[in-house]
Amino acid sequence: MEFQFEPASFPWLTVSIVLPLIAAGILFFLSERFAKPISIVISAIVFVISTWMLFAYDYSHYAIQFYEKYNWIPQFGVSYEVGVDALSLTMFWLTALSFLISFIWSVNIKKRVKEYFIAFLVLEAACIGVFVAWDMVWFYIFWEAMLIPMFLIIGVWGYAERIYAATKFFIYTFFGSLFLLLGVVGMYVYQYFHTGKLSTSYFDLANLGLPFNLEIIFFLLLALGFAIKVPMWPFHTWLPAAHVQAPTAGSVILAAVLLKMGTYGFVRFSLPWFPEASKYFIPVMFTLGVIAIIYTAAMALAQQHIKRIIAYSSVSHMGFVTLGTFALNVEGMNGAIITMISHGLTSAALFLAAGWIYERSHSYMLKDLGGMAKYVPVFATFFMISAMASVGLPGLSGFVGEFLALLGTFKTNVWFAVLAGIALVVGAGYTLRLYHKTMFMEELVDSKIIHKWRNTRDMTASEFLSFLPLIILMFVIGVYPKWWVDLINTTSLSILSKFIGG
Amino acid sequence: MENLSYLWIVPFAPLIAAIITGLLGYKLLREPLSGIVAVIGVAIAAVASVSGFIHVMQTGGHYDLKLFTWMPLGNYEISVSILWDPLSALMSCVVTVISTFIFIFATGYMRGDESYPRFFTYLSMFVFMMLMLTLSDNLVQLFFGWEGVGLMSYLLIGYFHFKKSAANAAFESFIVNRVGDWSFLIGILLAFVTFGTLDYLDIFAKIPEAEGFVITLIALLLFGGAVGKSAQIPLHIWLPNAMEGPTPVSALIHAATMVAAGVYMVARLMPLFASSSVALDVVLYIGTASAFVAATMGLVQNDIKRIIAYSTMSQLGYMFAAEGLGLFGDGMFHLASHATFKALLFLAAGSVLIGIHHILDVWKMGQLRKYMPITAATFLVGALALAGIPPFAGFFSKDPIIEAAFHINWVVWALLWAGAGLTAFYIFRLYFLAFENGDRLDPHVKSHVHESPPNMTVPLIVLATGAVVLGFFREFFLNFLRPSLDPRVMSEDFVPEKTKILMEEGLSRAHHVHVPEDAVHFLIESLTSPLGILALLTALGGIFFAYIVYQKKVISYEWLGETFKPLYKLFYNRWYFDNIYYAIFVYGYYKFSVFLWKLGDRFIIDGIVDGSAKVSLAAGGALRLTQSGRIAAYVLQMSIGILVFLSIFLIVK
Repeated sequence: MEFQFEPASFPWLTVSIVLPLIAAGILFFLSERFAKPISIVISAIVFVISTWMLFAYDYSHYAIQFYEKYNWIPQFGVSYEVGVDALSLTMFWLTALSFLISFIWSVNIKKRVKEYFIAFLVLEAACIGVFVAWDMVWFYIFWEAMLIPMFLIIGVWGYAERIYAATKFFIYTFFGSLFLLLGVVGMYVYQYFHTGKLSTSYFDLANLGLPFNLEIIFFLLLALGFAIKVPMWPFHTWLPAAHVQAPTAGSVILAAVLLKMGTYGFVRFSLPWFPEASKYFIPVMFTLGVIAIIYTAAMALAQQHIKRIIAYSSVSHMGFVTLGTFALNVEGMNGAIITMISHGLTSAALFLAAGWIYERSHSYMLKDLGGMAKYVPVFATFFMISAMASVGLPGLSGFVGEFLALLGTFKTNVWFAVLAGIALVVGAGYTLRLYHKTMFMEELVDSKIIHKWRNTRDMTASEFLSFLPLIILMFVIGVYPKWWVDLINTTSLSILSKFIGG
Repeated sequence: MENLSYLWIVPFAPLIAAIITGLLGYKLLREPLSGIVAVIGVAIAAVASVSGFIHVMQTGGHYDLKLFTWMPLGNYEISVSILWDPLSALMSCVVTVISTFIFIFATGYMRGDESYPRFFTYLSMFVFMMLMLTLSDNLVQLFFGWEGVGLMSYLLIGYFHFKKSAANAAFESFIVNRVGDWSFLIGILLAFVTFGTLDYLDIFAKIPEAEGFVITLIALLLFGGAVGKSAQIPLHIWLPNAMEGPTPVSALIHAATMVAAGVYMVARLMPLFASSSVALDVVLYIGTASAFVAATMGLVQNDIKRIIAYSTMSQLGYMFAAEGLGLFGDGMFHLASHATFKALLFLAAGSVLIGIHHILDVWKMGQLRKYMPITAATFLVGALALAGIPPFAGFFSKDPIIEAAFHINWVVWALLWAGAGLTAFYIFRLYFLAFENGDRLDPHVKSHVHESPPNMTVPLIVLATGAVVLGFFREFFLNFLRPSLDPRVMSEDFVPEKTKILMEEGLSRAHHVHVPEDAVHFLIESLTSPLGILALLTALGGIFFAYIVYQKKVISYEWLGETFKPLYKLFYNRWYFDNIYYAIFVYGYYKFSVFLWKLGDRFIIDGIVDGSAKVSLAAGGALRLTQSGRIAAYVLQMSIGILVFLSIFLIVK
């Protein structure tokens, strides 16, 4: 594979990683009341940078743009290397958006405010780093660095069983990362064996020309790391636990950003590095994808805890990403990437909705809820739009990705597409059940609870401001997906160049 | 083409109205301004549609206006577009004109409702979606409209969402429709993989290149969507429950327009369906079965709206049957005429409900004609049209289908014929119970009964006029539709010659049928031929039977119920469809999910995960490496891993 590079005229990406870190550092020495404004301003700046890059990115051809490279440890071939293609860029943008929204949402956090925002700022830097780093050492550093603040966010600001959940999250993903590391180190060693070259750069590792059996081994090592992160069935049980215990903003980041890292890993590494193994494992990945879609949809239906429903629905949606990715055609790939973006929006919105409900009712359990719609019309509308985007209603973002991913899957294997299509029915089932049991059927709800709704406040300014961009973007993607497909199309073609000879 | 580019206003005027009422409705417009904005929006669409209708009536051509590219798909671009030809022109006129009257009616019906602006926002949004569906030139936009009307239908059925029954009915309608949509979406995917395009005209041109069974498969998968949307067996169960919505919604969405979308879709893709005899047969049998079964269910219901709902399902069956027989023009004509008289019936029922304060049980009504003369008279017109009595519209649109069936497939004919008799019976059972018969009204209600205000009665009168005169335009409509539905008249750039040859095979079944197209001739023939007289007598017999049972009480209905108890129970329980579905899908699937969760996620997966955590904890403790145990175990593994690789690395170097 040949890569083109377009160096950045200004180190925008480095700035975006460093800014939150500097802010976090400064916050250590400032008083608590600066935490919120500084975090919001910094994340807004990063978001503006990422949005500007989205428009400045030249999608007419494939190249790593805004590229920066500085030698770091030349003896081992390690350098600091960042840059974006459309995949990295959209994920970077999604990360910046999610953090901005989380910060705005978190203005009424009460407990250990300073530490809370510091943890999130560090997390933001690490998440951005994961998506834009092209040197494997840096990638791995960011990948692991992200665990610690997330562990703290769940473990400190979470709910009753937060320690169990945080530990489970940490160990699960740490366990996966270990295999990821093993795989990458293995490739590094193989590279030295084979070419005498020492480099941890993605671009060098992409051209190893591994023999088939090694491809299989390395594929499996990396896949385990990514599959846990996605999460794919049967490595998914950490996710509901983590979501249920995490604070709202933590859930938003977890769903919108962290889950994308696994699928990002598959798209970015597994496919271009191990093309033969990827083809070989299509049936396995398809099966796991379809199980994720159908099995976890049933899980979602069985739950009483609203965050657990949304968590399972996330797993189900990520099944579409898996299918689209391993369809190994351009429709599937575009579908996978757009589903990643769309799921970032919808799951963030749904978790915000869950948090909103909890703030009013102090319960996440369906039995304590119901009949709110009449008293909170603005929220009810936003929640409905998010739910509909999540179930893939055409005109909203969810449909675009699902349609493309299903089309890609259909081209590769008809039956998996037919099975995955069941999500259309069961997905609507659990999502509407969630909506109905929280918002509708007032006449079944205890009058004391209804009394509470009567005096409840519809969305506050900060809630409204953090919700609104998500809603707008669901429409933007759903009504005019052409722009997004154009943006990512060259990248998809390049990622798939070993499969479709592009 | 340039002089038709104003047609973009047809779908977008209601959308703009919806956005205005949605954003400003509660704060600024309230009642009645929200309603007026909505009426203006849909009226603009109606005027534009009619003018486009006149244009296409003169030229008979088709116009494909691409508004913008929605999404590129390889070499093909999915666009948002307007395909304006006789078929879509007729459908969009039906939708907008009927909507206009229903909207006006609704401004009266919804008076005083606390969510008045929300209602009209949904309604306008529905019309927008319906028109996107109607005017699309490709399957994806059709699907957009298709799901969009489904959503608005869901929201409107659940309009009174605080009621459990309404919320459940809404839920059910969405889910059942989604089952159909699943099939529909797979159909779209298969069509794209087969043809490489999703534009109707390109698909029509490429039909001869595809294999026959693939065409059949695509047609059947798409028809699966129609079965859901148009409430045909086996996906019909949601429609009667959908009556939980406000009555104008039942009139507009669940009678006149949305549920007819399936019929329209089959006509729209007529070259595809006609190219496959199997597909046509399936359409025919599903339609016929639904027409008959729904009529039997309608016999024994007691809820005024549900009775009409079953008749909707039944009449949709007639339309599908017509299409299955190869008589696409007749199917579409019945759609238009049914939309008129069924909207009329529902609105009249709505007027009744306003008058007697939303009592739905027909056994608690009676002698309403005295209090609501206009409502009663217009309802009677609608009932006569539905029963197929000349000279009302239903006679000219439904009876030709039954008569044609006789020449093609006598089993189908027998069911359709029997269904027509049952239809006449149950609609007049309703009429006699509600408007004539004994005095069963609650005295308290009785003191308040009143005729509805003019903004409700005027639409009734207009629609009733339509139900009287529309039938006489039968020949005009059939001729008008020919450029869209008759291969002999279709232009070459609409459907090419090669495809027409394929279509002939499917359409040939109707070639030897000669039902007069001119209304007067048809009427004369019906009055002179044995078949026509039989049909007419059946309808009259149904009415007469209803008269002697429910008005004159010569035969007691209790006795009838006892005598035919098994049948009565079967019909009353709706052939047990609901019970079976409930047992399998609602109860069964939910229980299964809970079981699976406890077994799969809780017991097996977490059992292994937590178990191994405990084991490693124990191991960590045993090794006494650190006190914290679990994390250390992994740090240890990682260190070992790095060590191993570093040593390999060093050895090699």
